Amino acid sequence: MIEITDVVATFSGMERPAVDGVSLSIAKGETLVLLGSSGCGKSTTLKLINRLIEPDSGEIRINGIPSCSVPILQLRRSIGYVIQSVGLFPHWTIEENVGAPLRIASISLTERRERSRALLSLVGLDPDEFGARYPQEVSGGQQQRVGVARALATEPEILLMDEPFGALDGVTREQLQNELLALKKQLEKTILLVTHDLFEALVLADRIGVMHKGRLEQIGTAEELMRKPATPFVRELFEKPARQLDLFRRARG
Amino acid sequence: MMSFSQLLNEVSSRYLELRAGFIDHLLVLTLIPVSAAIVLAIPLAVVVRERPALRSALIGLSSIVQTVPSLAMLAFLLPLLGIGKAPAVVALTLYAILPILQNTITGLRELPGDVLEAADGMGFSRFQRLRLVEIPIALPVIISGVRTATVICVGIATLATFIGAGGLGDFINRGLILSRSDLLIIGAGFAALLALALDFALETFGLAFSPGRKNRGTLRWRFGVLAILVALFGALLVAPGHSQERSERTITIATKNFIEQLILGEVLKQWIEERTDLHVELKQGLGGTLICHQALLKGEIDAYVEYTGTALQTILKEERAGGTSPNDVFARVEEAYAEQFSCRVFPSFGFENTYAIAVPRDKAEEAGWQSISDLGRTAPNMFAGFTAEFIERSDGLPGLRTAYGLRFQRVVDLLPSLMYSAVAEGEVDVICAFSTDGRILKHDLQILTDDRGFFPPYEACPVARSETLTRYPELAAALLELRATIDAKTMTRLNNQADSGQKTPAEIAEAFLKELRRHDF
Repeated sequence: MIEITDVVATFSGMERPAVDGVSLSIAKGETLVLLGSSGCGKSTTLKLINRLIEPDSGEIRINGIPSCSVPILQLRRSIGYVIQSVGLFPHWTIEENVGAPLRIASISLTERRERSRALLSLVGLDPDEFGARYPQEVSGGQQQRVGVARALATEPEILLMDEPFGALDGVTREQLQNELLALKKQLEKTILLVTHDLFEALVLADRIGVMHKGRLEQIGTAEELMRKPATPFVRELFEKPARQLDLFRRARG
Repeated sequence: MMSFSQLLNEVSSRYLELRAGFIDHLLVLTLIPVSAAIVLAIPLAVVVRERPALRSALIGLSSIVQTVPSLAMLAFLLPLLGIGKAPAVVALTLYAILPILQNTITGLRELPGDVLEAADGMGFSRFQRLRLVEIPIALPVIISGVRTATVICVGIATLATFIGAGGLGDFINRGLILSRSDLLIIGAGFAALLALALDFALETFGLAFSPGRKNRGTLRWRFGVLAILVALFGALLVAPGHSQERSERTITIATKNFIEQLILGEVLKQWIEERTDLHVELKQGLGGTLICHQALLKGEIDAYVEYTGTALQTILKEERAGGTSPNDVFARVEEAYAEQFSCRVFPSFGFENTYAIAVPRDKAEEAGWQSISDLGRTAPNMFAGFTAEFIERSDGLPGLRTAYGLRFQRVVDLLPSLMYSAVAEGEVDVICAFSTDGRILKHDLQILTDDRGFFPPYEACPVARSETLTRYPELAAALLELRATIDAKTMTRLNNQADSGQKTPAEIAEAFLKELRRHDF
């Protein structure tokens, strides 16, 4: 579905590349979580896919087609994008926000309303109760549900999620993580999610890619990363969950 | 102090004038410049917002424009665009650009970054992002810039009267010249009301367009009030007024902006309308010398009253040789105007409005002063109060010193309006007066004769375009009849009548002409 080959990206004025020779591939319907601390290049890798950042070198293919050969707006409109601070439009109602990707694609108002309402129901918000409200009038968790609904509006095959639950309190975060899992099963999207939260990665990921200083240290299932850490960084990171997994298995015999 | 009912009376008697001034002020001098500024400033702001060098250059440029004093700006534009509404609209547009430009740039630069990232991420084109996201979110800030620009425009537009652009400033200007506080209050009051109403309208739009939920109750009553204001203005526009049709045989006469000129304007108008079948449109207080002269050259006016000394020095830029006789100066000016401007200078009304040295009458009689030479011995013990202009001009104090060898103990700068009372109350001993100023009578001052013929002759003469005179030969005849009809004493008396505020310039002119006919015929 998505193939990234040896991509390098450097911000102007920075000596070290933010992303330094990363290669990975994501299968259709798979959820890959990029895990790492801030500044490790995981968000940059994500933004390379919808070309919010252009690479210095390397190639990204989506469904086998080089992404640089697709017109940029068409590319972005075919990919759902969710960010930590949500970025809802303050001058539009919740319903208008969800319909925004359809509006720029010149979809009629009636169809927009219909689909926005269905999407709000899908993310657990009653369209009659929330549709006419403004973003400032709902809670942070509800805002991020709107953000997810908006990203799904054009029915994209790919969903990019940049720390989607990072700004939420623990209880809400867990609730939304569970709902995302349910949604994933229902919709079969290919998801690339970026987080610095190890447990979020363990909960949501089919596979985890660990990033450190612009490089992809290791990529694999949680089990593989725990059992066979390829680098000291990965070993240290997964030490605690690995021990807990051992304890758990021993207890069950 | 006048009563409120007197003020209302004045408003209703000047209803048509006031209506025209108000409509001009709102439509021509405010809405057009502000709209033009919006059309210019918003696209400029969009272009420069992400280009720091261009941005600071543009803000710097418009800030410089903003610091040019309004009157200086109008003076700069005068040679380019002449007088009237066009230069006023251009100047006001320039003033309105900065606040709108600055606010639009600020509004666009302070947009929440996550909102823009979300818009980019979901594939908004640049133009879609600008139109659907950036402008709408920045709109309240942009509108507050438009509010500032509008209030600035309404205020500065009151100065447009000085270049004959009309508006409510006409009332303020005339109120100042005639010391009529009722006219001042009417002009300034309606300008203030206009500013408040426009600000209210824009504030309402700002609220209506602010992102997020609106307070519907507030918006409802605000739009209700706006509807009433718009209806009132609509009624004012369509209300019956006098027909604006200008008869074929109409000439335009302008006056400068001081009392004597307003009276002379009325004298000319009434005399010409009586002696010919021409209709005279009077532009009272059009502006200073250069504005009247420009207007005459451009054919915007047909005639006005100029002073020979001013024509020689200010317009023809010729230095006057000392001691030149009034006749010589007149001949020179008459010839130059005919050659250079195709204008005819008519013989003087019979008085000069020149600089003069004035002292209180009682002191003059006591000391036996008749002429300026008589001051010579006492001058070193005297305090002199002169205008700044008189102190600097070569035909003022510097020349006076040379011609008469005068040395005063001290010379202080005084405003013309303060000079007369200062000498009357003994705060200074001697002042430079204008020889026909009504305040010479009011404060019982005596003018000392210029026995060495130092002051240039400033004879008041009608000046008219040759083209107009060819078309209406009867006009020349009528103007010639006014030769030597007003002496300095008479002019001073008429000015004094206007100063005291008892009679309008029109009434003074009417009474004077009645008197003139009694003597002549």
